Amino acid sequence: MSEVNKKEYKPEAPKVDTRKTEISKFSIIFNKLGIWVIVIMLLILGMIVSKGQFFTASNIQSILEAVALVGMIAPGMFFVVYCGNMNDMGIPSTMALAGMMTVQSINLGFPAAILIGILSGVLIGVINGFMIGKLRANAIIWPLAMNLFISGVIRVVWGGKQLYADKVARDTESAQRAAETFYSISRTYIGGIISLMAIVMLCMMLLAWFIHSKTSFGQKVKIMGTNYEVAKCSGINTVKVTMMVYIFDGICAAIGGIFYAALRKTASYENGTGYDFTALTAVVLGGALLGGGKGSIVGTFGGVIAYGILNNVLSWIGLGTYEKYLVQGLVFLFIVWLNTYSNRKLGKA
Amino acid sequence: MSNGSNKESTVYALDMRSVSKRFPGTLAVDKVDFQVKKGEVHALMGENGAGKSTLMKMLAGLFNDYTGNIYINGEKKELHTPEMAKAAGIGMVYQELSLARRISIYENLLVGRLPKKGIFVDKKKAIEEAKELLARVGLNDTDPTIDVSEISQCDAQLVEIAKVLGNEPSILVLDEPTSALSSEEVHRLYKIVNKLKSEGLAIIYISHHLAEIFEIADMVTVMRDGKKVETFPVSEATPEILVEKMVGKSVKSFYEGHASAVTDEEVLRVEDFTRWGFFHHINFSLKKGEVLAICGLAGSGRTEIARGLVGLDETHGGKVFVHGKEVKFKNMGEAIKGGIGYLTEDRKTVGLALPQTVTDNVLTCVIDKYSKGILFNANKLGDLVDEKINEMSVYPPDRNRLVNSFSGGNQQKVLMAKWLATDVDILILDEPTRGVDVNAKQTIHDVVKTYVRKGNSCILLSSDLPEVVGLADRAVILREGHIIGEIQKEDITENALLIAANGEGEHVSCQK
Amino acid sequence: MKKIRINANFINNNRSYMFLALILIIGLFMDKFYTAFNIAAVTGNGSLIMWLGLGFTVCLIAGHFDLSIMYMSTFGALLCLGLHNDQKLPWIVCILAATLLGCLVGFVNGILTTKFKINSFIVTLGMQFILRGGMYLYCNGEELSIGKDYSFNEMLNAKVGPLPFSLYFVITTLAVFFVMVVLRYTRFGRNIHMVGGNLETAWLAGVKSDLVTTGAFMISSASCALGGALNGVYSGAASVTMGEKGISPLMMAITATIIGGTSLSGGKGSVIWTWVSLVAISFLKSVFKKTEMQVLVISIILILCIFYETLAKYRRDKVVGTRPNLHKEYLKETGKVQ
Repeated sequence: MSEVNKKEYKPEAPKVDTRKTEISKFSIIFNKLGIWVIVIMLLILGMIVSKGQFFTASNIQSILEAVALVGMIAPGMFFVVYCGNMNDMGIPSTMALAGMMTVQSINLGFPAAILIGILSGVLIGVINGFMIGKLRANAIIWPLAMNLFISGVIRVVWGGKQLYADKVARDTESAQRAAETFYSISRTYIGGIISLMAIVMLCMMLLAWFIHSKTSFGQKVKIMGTNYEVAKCSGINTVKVTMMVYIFDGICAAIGGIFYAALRKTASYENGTGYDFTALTAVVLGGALLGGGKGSIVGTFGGVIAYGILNNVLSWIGLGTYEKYLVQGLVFLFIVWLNTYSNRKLGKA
Repeated sequence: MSNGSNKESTVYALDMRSVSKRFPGTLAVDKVDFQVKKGEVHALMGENGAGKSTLMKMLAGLFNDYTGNIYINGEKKELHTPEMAKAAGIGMVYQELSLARRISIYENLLVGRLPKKGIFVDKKKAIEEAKELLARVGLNDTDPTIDVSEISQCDAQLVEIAKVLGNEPSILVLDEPTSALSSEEVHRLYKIVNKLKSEGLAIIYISHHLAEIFEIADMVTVMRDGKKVETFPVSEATPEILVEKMVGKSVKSFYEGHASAVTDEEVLRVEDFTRWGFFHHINFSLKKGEVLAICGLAGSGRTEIARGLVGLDETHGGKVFVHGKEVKFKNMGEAIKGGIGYLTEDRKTVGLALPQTVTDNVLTCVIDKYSKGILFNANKLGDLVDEKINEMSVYPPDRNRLVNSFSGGNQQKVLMAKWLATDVDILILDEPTRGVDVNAKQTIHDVVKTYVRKGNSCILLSSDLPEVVGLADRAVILREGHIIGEIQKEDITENALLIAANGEGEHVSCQK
Repeated sequence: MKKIRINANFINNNRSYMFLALILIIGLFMDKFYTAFNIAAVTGNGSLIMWLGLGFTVCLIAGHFDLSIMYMSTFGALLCLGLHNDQKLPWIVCILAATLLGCLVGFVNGILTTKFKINSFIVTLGMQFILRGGMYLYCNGEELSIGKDYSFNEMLNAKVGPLPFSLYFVITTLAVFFVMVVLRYTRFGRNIHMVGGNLETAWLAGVKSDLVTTGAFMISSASCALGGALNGVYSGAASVTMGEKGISPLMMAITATIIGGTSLSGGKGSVIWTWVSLVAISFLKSVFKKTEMQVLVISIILILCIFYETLAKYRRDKVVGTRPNLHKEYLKETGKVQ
């Protein structure tokens, strides 16, 4: 007889079932299409302010490039949010560590270096997964502590220095070539138009979409994110699922970190600063519920794209980097409010 | 109260006149008249879902859409918010404690009305006031400055009562106050209730325990299916009368025609099963085609035994045999593979993922079973889902609807469908029909009967006694974490169960 | 067995003091650690994060996250210096203006969280962007200095009486104690605890929870703006990247709050604990000269604290709900008690 749900019980919540009577059309449309409505609106706005130059190849290319890094990290962050763990504030140091490890091991050859970079992300994912999945450590603070710890370890081990691949590489031709390959990954354009980074981002989005909507793992994460206890009482191995979520998150952050290091031509402890919040912004823009269990990769991709297009449109309008922050913040809060509002109206939240 | 002047005796402390409250799908309280006098302990009895709690929540101001009139000390009051109820002099002690655990006792007691001296909180005065309140509930030795988390469950229950008393209510509602208390603690509570009664409070006491009613109540009102059955003085009642009123006659026919499907094959045996502090040395066995009820009052350890069996909680000793093989499940997933399912008690917190679709929920337990490699396509399993929700006659039969848009009864059917989809041959049902309407109840019971007839077995944990009588082939009685006896099918009656579970010696003679 | 547990609890409950004591003891073996100059410099430079920690802790006690505090303090500093330089307003007015801005931002945070029902984490994340953009717009990304008016700057830097502390640090400390008094001894403060501890209890008891939550956000933002403004004057300059070098002050504030022992789920905590941890962290920077070691040591302490809390909770969850009668029986059967 617990008709009054303890947590969600709010003073003004009406006790009658109004769900089926008063839903505005807008709520329904917005809830289904979510961020893509905003994306289309931004596209139209962009067309107007850029006087038709918005859809040129170079502009689209620059939008894609600008969001590529966030787009690589966002799928991992999406799964963390989706499985009900709010966010992962450990992403910056994972990115930094992956960059450092890759550059440090560049002498083993390019593929091996990349592999080691990704493995370092896996390692952090395993630690986070164990602490949060098995011991139920607080999912906000534990990654934060890990972030600080890894950052401390990087600073101590490498003495706070920056690493350059061409300097780390031995004076052999193969090592130098590996370093060059490493630098080039962020500057390669397939067919001379689309950058490799954008393609990697699209591939990861595609992979995440596949995992989210086509695999048993995605289904399990969905149930676990909606209600952890239900998942546990229904035979879902929550420890294992949490572990996998964090490993995937670690891999995404590591790949992002490697590209970041290549793009900046240097690996250091401060690589990736701020990417945790940026990725979370994109995921939340995409309509994911911070409480978990709701959201989609299509939405997250929309969030990433909207973030990039907004920046681009604001540039066309003629705003500088700093004015952009202001507008971004306002737009972000507005969209989040729309999400919250439409969710409440539909009784999904 | 008998010889007071005529005018005064007609003024009740509480007078509810034909109040009703509708939830989507059910009429939870149907035109109930309910009166309580000053200085009276009035017991409110009824089975789960009879509408007691809803009636009391109405009194506490949690609903703003009830119909009917409520008079308090002769004055008509509107009780639409908790504040209004509090101002009208109603003190409600909830079944679940509403205390902030990490905050000190005195602040919990005086929340929202801490005494001030200038701009500061007058801590000295607050502590003194808190001590007075604690003394009223017999906690003279408790230090009000420690956190609530540091005191026992019983003391916390008393603190909760003290907190409510702090608002000087004229009517005090105690909703199952003894469910978490040990027997000595219950006697402490009796003393306090009697003291408060002598102070002139009107006390409404909700309980399932018959013995408690005879111990402290003056009047008793019995409710059934949202309606009031009767009010009469406790002195005129016997346990049999009460049970009869609570159960009603009509229910008997409702459960007729259940042929037993029990065979001799043993599918589950539990030996010396122990989780320290929750249940000790449990032994029982389950036969193929049998519905075994584990009966006991709330807090007797029923749910914990089930959780221990399927590996949701760690256990400390004992052996479990499934089909003769010893098993030790580490988590629910292993249990399902091993052929045991567990339909959990509270569908809202541990049963269903409410904001997801029926498909998602029904398939929750079988994700691994129906996935091809790593691939899983819920849409391809639509036939399975449809089959199960049709079997349960979920209405509307739309597998793409979100579960939270269904009524309570249909949600429960979805939960049942979810476990039917697992194809386990032993199913533990924990309160399978709590808070659902009569039709849903019947559907679920029919499904259970069909289920065992197919050669499966069920363990039924229920405090709904007619349900146990109607479904169970055998009942083991659990009291305080121990199995104290077993009743065979032919001897299972509601009276026998109630009396055995209450375990009050003097009433055992009622059993044939 | 029992003795050990009490000790572990004791250490846990007083871990911020232990942390400070540890650092001060290590300091005994350091050169030039206990000099008036060093102490004044360390505490003065560490004051900014003390303000941030103050704000973060108040919000966390009310059960909410406030991520906007860092940019709030920077904006406060810029606004204060800007008003003084351009509008030639007296310092006190400038500082008041910064504080007012803080109140306003806190109010908006609170309204968005309570009335619009957006998660506070998200609200303050968005506010972070807005403040960042706003302050860049205000100063065009340039560094502002206090110009030639050194009087107030010298006042803040000067030592107070015989104490080895600068006035800035003393003001910071007084503010922390003031907020502590408000939180601990006023009805409003107790309500903040109650709202964080159990929102439903507070609401059922008639506490105006939305108002209290908004109040907590306002205290948080206002104290950060005020602290930032004072820090601008104290250090003589303010730029958009104030405090961003080395370890992010926001992270430090969060870390110190956790090390101090404020509960993440709200309701329990003290600004004093956070303050003590931050003093310890400030001194730690003087013990370990290298940023690398500072980060490592702080993070290890943080991890230990979280580890302890997690394990304690893990153990507690296993026995929660034990029946008293059965527990006695268990003790008897296993021979733990006669």
